[in-house]
Amino acid sequence: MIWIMLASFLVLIVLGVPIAFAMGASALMYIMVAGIPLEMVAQRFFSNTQSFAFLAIPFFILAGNLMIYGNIAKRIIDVADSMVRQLPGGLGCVSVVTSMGMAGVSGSSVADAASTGSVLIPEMKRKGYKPSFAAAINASSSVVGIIIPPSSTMIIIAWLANLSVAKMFLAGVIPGILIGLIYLITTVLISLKRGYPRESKPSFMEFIISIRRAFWALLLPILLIGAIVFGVATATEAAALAVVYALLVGVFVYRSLNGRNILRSIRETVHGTGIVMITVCASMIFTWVLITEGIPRMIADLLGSLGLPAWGLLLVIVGIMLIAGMIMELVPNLFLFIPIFFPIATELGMDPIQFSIVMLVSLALGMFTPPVGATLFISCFIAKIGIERTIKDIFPYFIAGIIVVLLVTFIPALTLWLPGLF
Amino acid sequence: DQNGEADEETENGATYEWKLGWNSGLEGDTKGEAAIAFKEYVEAESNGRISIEFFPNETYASSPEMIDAVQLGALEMAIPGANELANIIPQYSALSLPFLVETPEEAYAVLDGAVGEQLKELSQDHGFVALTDVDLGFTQITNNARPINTPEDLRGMSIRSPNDVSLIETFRAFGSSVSTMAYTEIYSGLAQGVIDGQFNPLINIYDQNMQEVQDYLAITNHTYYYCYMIINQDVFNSLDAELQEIVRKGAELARDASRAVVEESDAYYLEKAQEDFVEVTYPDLTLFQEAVQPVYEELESVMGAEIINDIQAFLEQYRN
Amino acid sequence: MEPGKKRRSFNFIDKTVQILDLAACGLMALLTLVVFSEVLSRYVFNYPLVFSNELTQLLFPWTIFLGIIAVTKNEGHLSITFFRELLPKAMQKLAFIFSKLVMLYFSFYMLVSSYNLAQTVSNQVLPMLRISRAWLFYSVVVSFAAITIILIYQLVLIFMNKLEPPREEDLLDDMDNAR
Ligand code: NA
Ligand code: NA
Repeated sequence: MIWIMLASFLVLIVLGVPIAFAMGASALMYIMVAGIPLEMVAQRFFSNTQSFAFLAIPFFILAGNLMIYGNIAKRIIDVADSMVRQLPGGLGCVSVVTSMGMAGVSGSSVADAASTGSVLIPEMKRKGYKPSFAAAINASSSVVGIIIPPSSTMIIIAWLANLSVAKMFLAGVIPGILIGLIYLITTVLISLKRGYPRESKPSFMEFIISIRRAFWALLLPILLIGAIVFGVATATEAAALAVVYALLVGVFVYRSLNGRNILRSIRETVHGTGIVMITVCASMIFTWVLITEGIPRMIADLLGSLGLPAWGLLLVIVGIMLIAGMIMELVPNLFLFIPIFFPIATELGMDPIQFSIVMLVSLALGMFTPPVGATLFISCFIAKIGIERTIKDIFPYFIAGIIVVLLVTFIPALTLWLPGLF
Repeated sequence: DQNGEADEETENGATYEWKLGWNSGLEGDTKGEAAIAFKEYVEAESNGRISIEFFPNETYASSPEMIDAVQLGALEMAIPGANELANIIPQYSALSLPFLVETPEEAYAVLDGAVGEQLKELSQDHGFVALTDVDLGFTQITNNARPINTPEDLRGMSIRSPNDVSLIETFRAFGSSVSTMAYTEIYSGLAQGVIDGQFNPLINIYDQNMQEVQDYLAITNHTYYYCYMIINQDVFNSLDAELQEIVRKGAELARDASRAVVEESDAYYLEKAQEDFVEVTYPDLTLFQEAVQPVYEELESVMGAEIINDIQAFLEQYRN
Repeated sequence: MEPGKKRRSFNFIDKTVQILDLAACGLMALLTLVVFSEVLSRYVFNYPLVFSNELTQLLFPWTIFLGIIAVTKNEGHLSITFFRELLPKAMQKLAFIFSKLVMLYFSFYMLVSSYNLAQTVSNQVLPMLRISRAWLFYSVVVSFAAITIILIYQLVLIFMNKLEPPREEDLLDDMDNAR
């Protein structure tokens, strides 16, 4: 019976039924057949909306939207431009560094991919970069958006695994920067091989001026993390403060926000949060059925019975998540895998904070891999090319990403050192 | 079978598979030990006719949701807090009233006596049977601002309270500013200074490691926390007399197990607290009791004066 | 059914969705205001608002569930259309109809389920606001009632050949910020 639910879920997904409805409908069918009171469907669906942690998601999205409509992407691109454009494949490097800068401001990789990609991908094409390469850089480097804080995804993980959001945010900083650096190196190496152009060497003055122009935007991540770490506010409250900050900066400092684009920011926030939350809510019904039927325990027992050493088991877990990330959306994956893998990781003696970053990074790589990848979709859309044509250019970034996953898995200090300071 | 109804008729009668959910841990936890004691007794005495599967740590649902699920019949059993059940049966928050009962013995006497029986019977109108109370213990106040000796010391302090009217009003009566952040956010709230203090039974204070981030502990016993072990009414009524008796006896053992955990942990942690806190105070409670009188008047409108009077009358007798 | 009349009824659906969407935006603004006031009140006036927690727990579901009405209307839900697009045109249409039927099945029972649940808890109160807990679940009732109507409307449009399956690229506009 439970296997019929899982199978019908997969069939529905393949036929193009929205993920939320595919999960909801297959779980609903199970609940009706099993004779569980129907009210439980609505109850499980509603449950997550009562968690204070999820409230941070619309706030981080709104703060990011206000910043984006306030045209800060351009200002951050200028900063990146004045830092790395003289490297081989200068514009590609600018794209990577911009993604890191945007990551500190927004909590969403897809928003970052859209806002930086729409400026940089056409520019790269104009300078003779292959469209597939431009799309690959944009898609892959945007995933640091959810690894460098703030991050909506980390909030979901922290809530699911009962961890401190502040600690998770801090734990993501070093791995996020590490991915950025490795992608910078990858870009330079590919560009050297293909002879992509360098740009003129920027002057130090140019750097200072661009920093000054982006100052208020770049201050946000520092204020935000500071507010959370030093106890001015909880993560959710800090997110609400960030909204007010972004509003004030956009209206009074950059003078780029007006009633029209404020309403647009709010509307996109409501829709974006709605899309995430209905998926989260429906996956709650689905995973609830799996949990009450003892499936996670069964898989955990199965993995345990393999008799692998700790590192081998960890590699298997990472492998499963890499593959699942490629074929499924990130949020449903979290709901499926956190209840299964957290108990195992804890038993292996891995710190839950470290393990959640391992999980986040492995699943995040799936955002830019075919067949299902949100930052890939949007980057290909901007570059006006088919998804299948990017595979060759995506590959080196996927491999570089796996190197970071392994580093984070086997070197605890990368994730635990920073949160340990506070 | 999802409804916990009779699975199959055997020579000895029907068999049952039940799910039992609660929101905290298993071993060493008051609710967890109560659940273990219940399961061991009931499974053994029923000769396997009843088998119980655990869903601790909110793995089934949150506590208020589990109440709904038991009422609906999706979940057979749960151990929700009495003040969570008070949203359905207002009288269940009576023992939350500040300083109503002053010692564990008094609390147990109330719950084991006629008033306690009357309280349990109130559940019959709401689709579940309250089998027994499960002990959580008296709450004590921790904070980072100053040692508490008089109600005046609580003035202006920001204190976290659960979302319970009588507890919120109690601390407002002391002049504290009350915030109702989630239980799981207390530690970081205290560590970061978002709030100055909180109150909980000692076992919870230590379970959440609050001693790491709090300087002062005041032993005030101002509120008695407890839960009810509840079972869906149809499920209970479907049992034959013998099994009903086994379930009731198992529930009694669960209650005793929880009380043993609280007694042991209170003694253990009280001694440990002398080292872990900068100062532990034992305030004279007379002034506190005077300060909370308005709370009683206000809460009469929520739970009715009758239950308060009943408990007070019983205690007057008991104390003599 | 004359064409003019039909168009007006379609306009009615568009208008209603638009109004509900604006309401969701208003609630989002209110939500920000409540949480911001809580922080301000606690820090500046040392006076936490005890009702803010419950108020946000009420406002948040209303905001998002009103918000997904327009998302459903614009076909903005997260989905994998990659495989569907590999199918021949006629099969694509069948898959699209099937997908709407599955959504309708879930939405209709969500409507029933949430209504029943609201009735079950109607005599329970939210401790601080002192209003019925049913108000929480009415957000789901309203949302899925509207979604059910929209889905039926979309099915009618598909049968009239007025609605095509969206392609992956079409989804991207709405997908902004989805993660
Ligand atoms: Na970010
Ligand atoms: Na992917």
